[in-house]
Amino acid sequence: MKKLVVSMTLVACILLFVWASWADSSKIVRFTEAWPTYIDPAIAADFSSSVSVANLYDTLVFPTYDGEVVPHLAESWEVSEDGLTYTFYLRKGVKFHNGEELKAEDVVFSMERLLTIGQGYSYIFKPIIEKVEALDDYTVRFQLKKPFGPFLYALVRLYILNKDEVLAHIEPTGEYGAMGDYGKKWLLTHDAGSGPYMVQEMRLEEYLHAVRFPEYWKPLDPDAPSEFKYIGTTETATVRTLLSKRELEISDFRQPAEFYEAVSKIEGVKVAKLFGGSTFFCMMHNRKPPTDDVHFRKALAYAIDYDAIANQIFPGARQAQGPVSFILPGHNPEVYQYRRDLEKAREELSKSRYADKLDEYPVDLVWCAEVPDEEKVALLIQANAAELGITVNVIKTPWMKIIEEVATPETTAHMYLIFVSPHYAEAGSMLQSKYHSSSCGTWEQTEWLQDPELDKMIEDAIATVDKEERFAKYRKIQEYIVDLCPSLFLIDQPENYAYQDYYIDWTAAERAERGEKVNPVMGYNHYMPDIRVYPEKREELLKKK
Amino acid sequence: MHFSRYIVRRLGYSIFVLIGLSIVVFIIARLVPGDPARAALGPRATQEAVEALRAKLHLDKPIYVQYFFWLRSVFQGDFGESLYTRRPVVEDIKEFLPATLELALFAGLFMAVFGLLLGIVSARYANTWVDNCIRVLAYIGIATPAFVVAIILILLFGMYYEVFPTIGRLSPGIAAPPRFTGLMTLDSLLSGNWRAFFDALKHLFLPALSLSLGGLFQEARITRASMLENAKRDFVSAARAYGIPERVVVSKYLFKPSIIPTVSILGLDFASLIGNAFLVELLFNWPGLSRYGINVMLRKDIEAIVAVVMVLGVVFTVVNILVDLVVAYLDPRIRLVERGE
Repeated sequence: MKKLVVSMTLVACILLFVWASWADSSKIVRFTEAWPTYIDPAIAADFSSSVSVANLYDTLVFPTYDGEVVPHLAESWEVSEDGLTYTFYLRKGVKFHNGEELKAEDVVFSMERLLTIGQGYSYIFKPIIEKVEALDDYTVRFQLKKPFGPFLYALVRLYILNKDEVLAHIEPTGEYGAMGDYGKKWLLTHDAGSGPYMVQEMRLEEYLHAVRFPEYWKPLDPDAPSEFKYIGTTETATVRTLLSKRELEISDFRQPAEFYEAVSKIEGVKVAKLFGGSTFFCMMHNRKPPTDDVHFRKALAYAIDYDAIANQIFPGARQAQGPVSFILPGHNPEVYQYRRDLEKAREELSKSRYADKLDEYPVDLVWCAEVPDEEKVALLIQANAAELGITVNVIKTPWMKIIEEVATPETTAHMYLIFVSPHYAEAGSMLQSKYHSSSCGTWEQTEWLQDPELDKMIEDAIATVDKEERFAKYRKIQEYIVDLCPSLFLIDQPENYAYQDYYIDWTAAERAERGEKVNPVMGYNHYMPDIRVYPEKREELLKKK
Repeated sequence: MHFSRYIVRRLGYSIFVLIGLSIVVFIIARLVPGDPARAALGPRATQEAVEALRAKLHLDKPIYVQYFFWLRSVFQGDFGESLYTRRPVVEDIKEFLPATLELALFAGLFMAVFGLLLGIVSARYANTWVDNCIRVLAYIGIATPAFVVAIILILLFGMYYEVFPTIGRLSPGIAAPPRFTGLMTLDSLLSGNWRAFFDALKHLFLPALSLSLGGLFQEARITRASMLENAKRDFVSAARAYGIPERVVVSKYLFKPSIIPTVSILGLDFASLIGNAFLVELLFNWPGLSRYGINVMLRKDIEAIVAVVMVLGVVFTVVNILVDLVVAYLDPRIRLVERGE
């Protein structure tokens, strides 16, 4: 017995008192986000993947905070008069992380690989790219199938890979014929990019650790992070502890309101609200009674308590003004905004052909089981509709089932609560994916609007190369849609991040604080070269503790 | 029946159990609503890519044909490709299982050592304040879910008293040892990397403790009850009557038969730890199989779901057989019955 006690005490002592300590004074930025993360540019499409590839790879053009694109790998470009041919002149001397020079054939390879694999951001390019060819080592030409005005803006999603390096890591037994697995397996945990950071270590389910690429073609500020680490967790207690220990610089945006309130009390920690272009809709079936009646839909639009959603259920959000987030280039700031007005709601309802038989037409409202806050919105809509005598049945449905349900107009319910983000940072993206007939049957359009006139207007706008002209068309389309009221435009959703304001300067957070727009392209607010880190200030905070 | 034949018979039964389990899980994984190919590739992937993946997974064929393909692959050592991590499931299991095993082994160690110790102390000082304290603690420990304990420990030792790390298996700046077994502590010992060893221990402490507390107090209660019951038996009275010192009576005559029920429960508890470690792994950002299992279930990663459940099934089976062996070693009556004596 004594031996047992002695040995147990020994084990306990070892566990409690013996450990190696380390000092961390490097210019590191650590942030948390949900796993999985795919750092293969042909697979990456979600938030954490977009952040990662934006820092590991370069693109021909670069998105700015005001929604423009500026030369990046491409020093200049020409567009043919018919808008079908784009010729890019590449910067010379750009090095990939393995030291090889980036050339036009790498751009061709990257686009071909993306289109062949058909995942990630390929959906943006698949319908428009006819051909890509390298005219010489530093000139690349894109031939489009049809004019696509936002093409330059879409190119921020074409990440350039090192062709030779990918080919050297192909698994021959893949599904892409001579290309084997197209390097997919290797690119799960390695990069073949030329971006400002390169993969140091990628541990699936745990973290991505990247360090600054010393030969990056564009000089970085000396106070820019020397490394970044994306930690794959969003557990509230863990994130809060890491922030408090100064082992985390930027939190994820998936935390509850209580978390932000608690961490904002930690010295040196602030909460930034970044609007990323995501809009929360209540989509209404435009082909199914009673939501097929525009007056019925407008009655609901006037009945909703938008302030309660924006201030109480999603604090920090702002009521959406039409179908396009205010942050997206091409948003119409003049478009009509429905506000709660029960008198107007009753007036609209009286014009509806269902006004005197509401009892016969209960409405089903589906919310996504994986987003608990949506239930509160559903119950609010139910209560608001009840004020007009409309019966709303609130239904909780798993996301996978919603996707199946909305595939046909017959199985689609009357209303769905769904967040939608643009595919690329321009109003046209949202207008097309939300309201063009081609998106019917997907979760992005459960309205089944199928309006040929609107389809023509959207196609025409997107095909317009001149930006001002295109934006003018977008504005008209937004007015047209708001008048049709196919959906309830609920809120523009901000992403809330807790960050170490005392020892990092985060451009996106500072812009948001000043009331300026942040980068509308997903992932680019976490572009590490735009962050400054001051380890000595971190030490100060640690010493105080 | 000879004892070895008993073991062979148990193994034979286990194979039937595992085949049955594979059929049930295979069907359930495919009956859950939603298209796995669409879920894996995302709502915006091209239809061609989705169809190609469906064909690759044989989802365009009847379910019994799918099962046949799966079974054939399994016999070739191929559990398919995970739609979540986009690599062979076998590789995932090789990577994630050791992390969970290491966690479960340490939690099991805590359960065995501290559970038995508390049980013995509680029985030795039965109905005194020591016993009462341990019993109250045991009630609290059993009733508190592991994830609540984990949160408390994270806040206490990670935030307020910064004693232990709260995420991962190793600290930044400490090179991981070469991978022999995947168990960080063992690999660092084998490679003589003491810094990594102690750092890995430090990372293991909080998650293992959170995971073990429920079982630990359960074992303590069972040990106490068993010891108190055995203390009234004739063979213990006889030992005392022979004048054998109390220390020897307790350690030699009372302890061994008293831990038999504890060992049985400990085995089952240990096997459960591997499947139930999900929330603890999530909270400590521990890259283990349990967390992986839940993630693949949420994403309808059908190949990975079946593989994970099968691995857990095998662990349960093996642990059960091992427990039977240990119990038979501790309890001669079982050996004699199996031999027909």
